[in-house]
Amino acid sequence: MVPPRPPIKERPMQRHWIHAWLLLTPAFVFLLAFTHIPALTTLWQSFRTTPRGRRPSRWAGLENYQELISDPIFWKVLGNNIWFAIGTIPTSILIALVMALWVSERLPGRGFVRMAYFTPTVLPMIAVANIWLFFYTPGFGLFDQITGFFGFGQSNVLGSPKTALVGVMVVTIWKEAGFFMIFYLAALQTIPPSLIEAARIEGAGPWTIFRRVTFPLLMPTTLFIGVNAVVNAFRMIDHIFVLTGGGPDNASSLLLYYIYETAFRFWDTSYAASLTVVLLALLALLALGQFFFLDRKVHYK
Amino acid sequence: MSVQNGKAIRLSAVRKAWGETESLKGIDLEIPAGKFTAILGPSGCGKSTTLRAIAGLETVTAGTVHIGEDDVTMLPPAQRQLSMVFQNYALFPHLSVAENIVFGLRVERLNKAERDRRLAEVAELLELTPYLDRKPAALSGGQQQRVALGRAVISRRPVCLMDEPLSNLDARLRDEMRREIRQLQRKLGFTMVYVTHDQIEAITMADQVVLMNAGRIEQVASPQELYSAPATPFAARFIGTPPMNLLPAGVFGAGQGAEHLQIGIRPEQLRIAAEGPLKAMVRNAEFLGADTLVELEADGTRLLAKLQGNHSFAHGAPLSFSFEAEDVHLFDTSSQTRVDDAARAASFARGAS
Repeated sequence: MVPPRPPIKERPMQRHWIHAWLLLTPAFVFLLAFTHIPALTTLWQSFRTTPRGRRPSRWAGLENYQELISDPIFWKVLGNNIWFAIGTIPTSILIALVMALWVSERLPGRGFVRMAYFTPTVLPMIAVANIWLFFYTPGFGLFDQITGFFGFGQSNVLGSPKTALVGVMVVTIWKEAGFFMIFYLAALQTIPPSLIEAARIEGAGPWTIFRRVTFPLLMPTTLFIGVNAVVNAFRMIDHIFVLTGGGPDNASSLLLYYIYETAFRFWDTSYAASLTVVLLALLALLALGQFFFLDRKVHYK
Repeated sequence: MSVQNGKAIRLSAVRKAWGETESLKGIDLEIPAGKFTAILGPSGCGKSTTLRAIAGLETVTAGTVHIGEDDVTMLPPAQRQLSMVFQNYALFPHLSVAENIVFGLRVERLNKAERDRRLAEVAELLELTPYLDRKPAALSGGQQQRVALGRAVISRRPVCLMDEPLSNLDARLRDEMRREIRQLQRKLGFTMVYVTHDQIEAITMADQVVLMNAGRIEQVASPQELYSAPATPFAARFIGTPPMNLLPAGVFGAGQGAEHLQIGIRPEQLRIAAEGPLKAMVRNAEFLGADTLVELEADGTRLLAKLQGNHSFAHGAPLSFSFEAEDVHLFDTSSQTRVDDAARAASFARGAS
């Protein structure tokens, strides 16, 4: 015979929170060890000098931040990053939306087209960058072969300071658009077909339906994608490793890549820490702004 | 609100097939102008497809659709001059009640003054004035239904289509909306095509009922005629609760020349009579309040009788029933059609043999 369980009220309440903490601990330990403690350490380090040889680290106050303000490379890289965000985010969101609208229609081979659009997202980023490196190769890369066929001269997109950043941006758009398309596709399936039918009966053409029904209903998705895209734009690093290495002359270097270089190539860890703090503050500001500014204009179900 | 002139709708030999499956198998239908026509049938009979073919939301595989004098078979929904109320109302969740109602007028680019004037009129008519700034999600089911009606009537189009508009409402609200929709149609005078699976809705609201079954039309008639003279055994059993008893001639002991007939008698038209022509045994009796529903068996065939008042019967008790000759419906078993043969009906009522 199973003894009857005591009613919940009679059991001591402490037991519950002990269990809760025990269950939370493993995840919490990892979060602390790999996120929260490093974040605080970074903040702490950004106010100290980098230890070099026999000279130990000392309190530096805002020295690192002063250095940062007078660092031309920091401003250049930040500018690059802003241009990178402006150049990639709207374009990739627009392309994602157009692709999603296109593949949510009933067309033959729809599954294949969807898969094709999503492939860039599945591929490892280093592989993607290598493929594009070949496309861009001066002389015998894909682009030069095509332009050469029409009688144009060779180009060196990644090698020239004017075009290197654009070259990286194109790869990013190509990769992000397929990823964002999936979100739009999922959102499109949740719009009841009768809404579109009702709009058609009321006399709306495809453009009016998109402008007044579909797009407003996709706004929550657009906001979500927008926040993600901004964060991604400031976290971009892997393509740069393979494609340009930040060059030439920092023309295609972005914030995170500059942080990496400062920390692990020049070993100026304290300066890198203060760069990181600035990057985080910037991201937090952008995300907050997006949520507070756009949230009021978005209809949630 | 000014009265509009409805337009007649005509479907000729309309077929709709999806690959192998044919959901409309040749529909010929006249829907008179300015009247309330209900399309009634069990689920999957093609009634919604018929409505969507009229709306232009489905293209027809064969046949033609006329609205008024115009052949609209190939026209998109926007050019057919009709409005529609959907089962789930299809209100735009991101727009306010007012914006939902004037959606079509804005698409037409009607000027704002006229738009506001009509909105005020419709809101008054449907008692929506206090809710115009709300989003649909903040309304009750009945109010959402009214918004959908408002959107349908504001553009004053000659034809209004409704696809089971009341099926998401509770019973009390449904009764209320039924009357409201009927009044609205009478007042505004548009042609109404109303799809439903609920015979009560069809019978209480419609001027003309179109009964459909398995992609075909069974009968087109007024509600009274549908009840008093069903054209097929299907129509006989679909209309009326409990459904009509359909009995083989053998139950009456009648042999000669009647084997090809099915005899239909409604349960509410059977009366207990000592020497009645219909003899049956009681299987079960259910007391329903005002009446008693008796389940019977006669010569191996089950039938029902609805008797006024409270009766109790022992299981297996023999009963005899009589009925009027004009309440007898005869159907040919092979062609599944009605046989109007007053003499033979009378002979069954007398007790043929």
